[in-house]
Amino acid sequence: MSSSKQVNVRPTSTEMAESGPCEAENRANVYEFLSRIFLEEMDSGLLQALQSDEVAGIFLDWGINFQEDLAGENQNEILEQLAHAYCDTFVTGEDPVFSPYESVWKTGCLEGKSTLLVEEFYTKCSLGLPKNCPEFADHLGIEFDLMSRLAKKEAEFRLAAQTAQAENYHKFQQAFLKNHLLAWGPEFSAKIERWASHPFYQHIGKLSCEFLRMEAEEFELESEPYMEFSEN
Amino acid sequence: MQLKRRKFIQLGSAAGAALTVGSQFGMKAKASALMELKQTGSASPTGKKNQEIPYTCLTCNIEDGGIAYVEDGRIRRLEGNPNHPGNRGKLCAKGNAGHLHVYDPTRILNPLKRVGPRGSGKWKRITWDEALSEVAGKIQGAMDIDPMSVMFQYGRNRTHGLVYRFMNALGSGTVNNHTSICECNKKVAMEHAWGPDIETPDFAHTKYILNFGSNLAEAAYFHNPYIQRLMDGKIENKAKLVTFDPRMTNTGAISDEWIPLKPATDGVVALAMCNVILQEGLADTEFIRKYTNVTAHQLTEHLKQYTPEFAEKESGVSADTIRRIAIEFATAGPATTYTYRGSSMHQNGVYTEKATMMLNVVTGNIEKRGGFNLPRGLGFGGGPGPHPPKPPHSILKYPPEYPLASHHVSHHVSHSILEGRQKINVFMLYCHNPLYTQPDGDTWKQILTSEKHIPYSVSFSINMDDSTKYADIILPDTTFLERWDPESMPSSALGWVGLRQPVIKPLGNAKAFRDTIYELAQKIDPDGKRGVKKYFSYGSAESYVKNQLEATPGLKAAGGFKLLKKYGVWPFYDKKKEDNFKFGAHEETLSESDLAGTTLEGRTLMKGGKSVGLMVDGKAVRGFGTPSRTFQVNVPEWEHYGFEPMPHYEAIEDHKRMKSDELLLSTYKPNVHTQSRTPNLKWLQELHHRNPAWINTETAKARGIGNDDLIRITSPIGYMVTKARVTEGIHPQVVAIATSSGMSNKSTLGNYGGSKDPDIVQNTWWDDTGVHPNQIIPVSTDPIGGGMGWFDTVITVTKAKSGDKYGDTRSDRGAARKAFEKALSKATKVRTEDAHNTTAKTNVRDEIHTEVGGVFGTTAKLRDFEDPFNTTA
Ligand code: SF4
Repeated sequence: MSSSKQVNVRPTSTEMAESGPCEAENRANVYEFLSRIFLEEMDSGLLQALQSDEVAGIFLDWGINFQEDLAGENQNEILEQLAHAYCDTFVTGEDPVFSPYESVWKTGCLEGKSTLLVEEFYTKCSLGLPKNCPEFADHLGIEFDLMSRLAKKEAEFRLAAQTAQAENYHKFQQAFLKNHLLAWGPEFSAKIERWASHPFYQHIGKLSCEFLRMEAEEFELESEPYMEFSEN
Repeated sequence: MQLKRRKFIQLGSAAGAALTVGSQFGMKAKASALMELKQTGSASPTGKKNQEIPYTCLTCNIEDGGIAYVEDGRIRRLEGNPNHPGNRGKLCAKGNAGHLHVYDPTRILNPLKRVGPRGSGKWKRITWDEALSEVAGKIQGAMDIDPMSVMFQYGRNRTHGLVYRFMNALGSGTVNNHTSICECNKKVAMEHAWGPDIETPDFAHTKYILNFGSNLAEAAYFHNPYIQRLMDGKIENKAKLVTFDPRMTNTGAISDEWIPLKPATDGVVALAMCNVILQEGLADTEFIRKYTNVTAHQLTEHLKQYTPEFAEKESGVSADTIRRIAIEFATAGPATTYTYRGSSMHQNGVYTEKATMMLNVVTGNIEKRGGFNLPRGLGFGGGPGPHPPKPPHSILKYPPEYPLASHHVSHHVSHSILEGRQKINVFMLYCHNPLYTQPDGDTWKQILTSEKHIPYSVSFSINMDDSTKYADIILPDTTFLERWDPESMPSSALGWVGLRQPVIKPLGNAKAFRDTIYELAQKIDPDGKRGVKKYFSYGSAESYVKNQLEATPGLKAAGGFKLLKKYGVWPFYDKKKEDNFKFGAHEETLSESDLAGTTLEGRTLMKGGKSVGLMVDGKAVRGFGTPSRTFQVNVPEWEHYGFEPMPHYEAIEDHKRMKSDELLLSTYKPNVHTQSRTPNLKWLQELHHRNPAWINTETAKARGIGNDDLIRITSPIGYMVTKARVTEGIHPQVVAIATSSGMSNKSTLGNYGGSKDPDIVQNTWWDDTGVHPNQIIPVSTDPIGGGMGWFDTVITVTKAKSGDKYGDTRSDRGAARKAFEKALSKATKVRTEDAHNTTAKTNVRDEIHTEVGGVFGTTAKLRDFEDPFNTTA
């Protein structure tokens, strides 16, 4: 399929909205999955699922072999390694550390205007921030969570044939992608793909990056150009 | 693309499947807890009303008052508290940026456990319960072997007694502060001379200020409150300001005269001026007679050796200048000196501090309007009882070689641990970054990385600083804007107490040190059998601090803790009161009840084994806070340990032997930084991030060095490669380098310039983050005060050698060890059984504490603290 064809066949936002609850629900699942991965270290249930043929098989289509990434004799050891890698990549460690907050990306500080705007976005969409979540609202995992919830809402309304409300939640997603996620998510994810210390997180970065780029295309939005950087 | 998208959407089902394997997944649990809210309509981030919450600043240690403007739980901006008697509504640049500590992107927000070799940067997030259980277990183990093997090393500790409560409860006296790398020589000199360890000059009403090496306009104690008053004095009172300093600071720049002198010679200049004043008959001989322990004749005779010509030879300041300024100072009207670290943190720093104090003594400018005055803090209590008994002191805290060093000798600790002087099993680090802020950082690295010397180490820290990165476990602390503390500083003639209160909730999983220690104590002693828990039964941090503050006499009646929560400080600034303040505390007549039961020893009134007053011409007055109640021009305790008791100048041995091509290395705090704590504040880092070495034009020319050239600076323990800043603003024999640059840990904002993370690169325009000099500065020590000789290092400076790269720093461990041994060899050879329980020391320390409870208007008990004001900047 040529790229010009791709552009020609790309559904309009209305067409997309009309494509039924399934698409929105699946998108919600992808967001929820990514949210979970970015927000916390792996746990044993999720690890088992990702190692299973059923789930891992689907990721193989993307050139991602989670069974290989997550192979090992001892599940606890794998979990331990992943916990170290999570900390290394998103929390602290030797250079570079990837701060998973939009505010840091935009201003170099935690809990800046972006955090407030994301919180307000939650409210605007009649949603509440995750209770007892120690993370700021502009953590990539929380931003993914918001998208997941919005997509779920859209799916619910579509299922109930409440098109106007579904469309409304679709627009919320478009606005959030435009004002927040696409401004930094793809670039952040690309960094993870390139620099994360564990292949699992490198692949998560790849997935996240490709998914967001696709979302940009589907919602007819531009994602920020990827900024190349040199090793120094 | 469609195909790709469709495939991707298939992922949705896979992702859904993965997530539904168990609802026990953390995020699943969180997602199910999502709360539906009512639509509230859009809200503007700027249109909301801000809460205004008073707090006490701790970006540096001046403890000024501020107001935080908080919106939706976030600090929008900080401003000065207009009610605060110290800073009178103004914050300095550092203070304005203080909230960036909170929002530092490299903050640690979860307990971290090391999972790779020390310093490898490999960590794992763990829960607080796991972290505290682990630390408690290690402490229990160490207590069972020897409680003294539990060590606590702190820096900017403003908990006012909590660290000691904890360590005393564990039965360990192995506690060290960082005062020996700050200004302890000044403290020791002042304590023996007049009692308190600091002065509060009346700059606003003075006519003449002689500033020896302090940079009040930028960094020295209490720079924000004092520079305001100094400018009042200059503008409204036409006061003259003369600054002696090898470097042209911003204080030098606003001075009427800047006189560069050779480092470590301030004392001889001061003594020569005293000599001139006495010789010219300009001295206040009545003050000397009444309030000192020498006669004017004795003093005149003693000071004759310090001629202006001798001082010129030593310092490079012309004899004529010395004479002229001496006469100006003595005849100007009220006058005062000022010093802080610049003149005192040399190997002869105690003598120097005493010498500069003498200028105020000979001119009778002590305790008077416009003069050099006693500090007036208000103080507060020691917190809720019961209080644990004090365990013995550790040899690391009070090495026997330094019997008069009452503020610890922290810069010897690394070498002492290395040689096994005290076995350490658990090492705790709080608000201190020794690898960066101490001299000879490499020796600190050696012990921090050695599991033999430090089997287990804990860091209570807000970020991954150069030392914390070597810890085994990190307990994330809160910033000063997220915690409770009582405060009181003598930054104004009007004493005050202030409150530091959380203006927002702690970010992430960070926990205030007060709470961490409380919880740790419960974990160490869950059933109370170890005798620790009973000292930690007071409930919340807030109630602890409330208890401390409400011990301040008068506060309860004025509105108590509630008033402090609302206004941040008590009493409020009152210009009229400050302008009309009555000095002369030493002349205050003792009351009948004060006199009841006193006996006279010489001129000193004694009661219950302690001095309480001084007889002056038949009148019983309070005098000064010394064992004799006089201003001790002659300090007998010094003589006991083989030091010169009278005002004295002693040239530094290494300086006497300097070759013609050798120079002296000096360091300084730039105006927008403290030491290692502020490089993480983005605004400040943007303002000041690189630290080229200041070198005089002629000195540079002689070495073929041009501006911004790469140079190599070689000290007795190593070398560093940095850039030159060629300037007229520095003494030709001195090279000066700013601290607060050149953090080694890449995960700090202070090192952002070297990062490859584009988040960082796009938010910073600079790539030069400087080179830190401390690693090439050897340990050297004032044998009386135990303070570090920061500005005494003899160096050579050349153009960089081939292969040298900017930032290269090397140090030689053998040479560093030799330097430490050399410092020790200059210590007193006199030993008492327990040097730190000698009459001299006990009296002086106790007297200081009594003074805070007496002369300065409060009876609050301060004996639980090590330092009454903890005025270590
Ligand atoms: S001088 Fe220190 S305490 Fe005062 S505002 Fe500045 S940083 Fe804060």
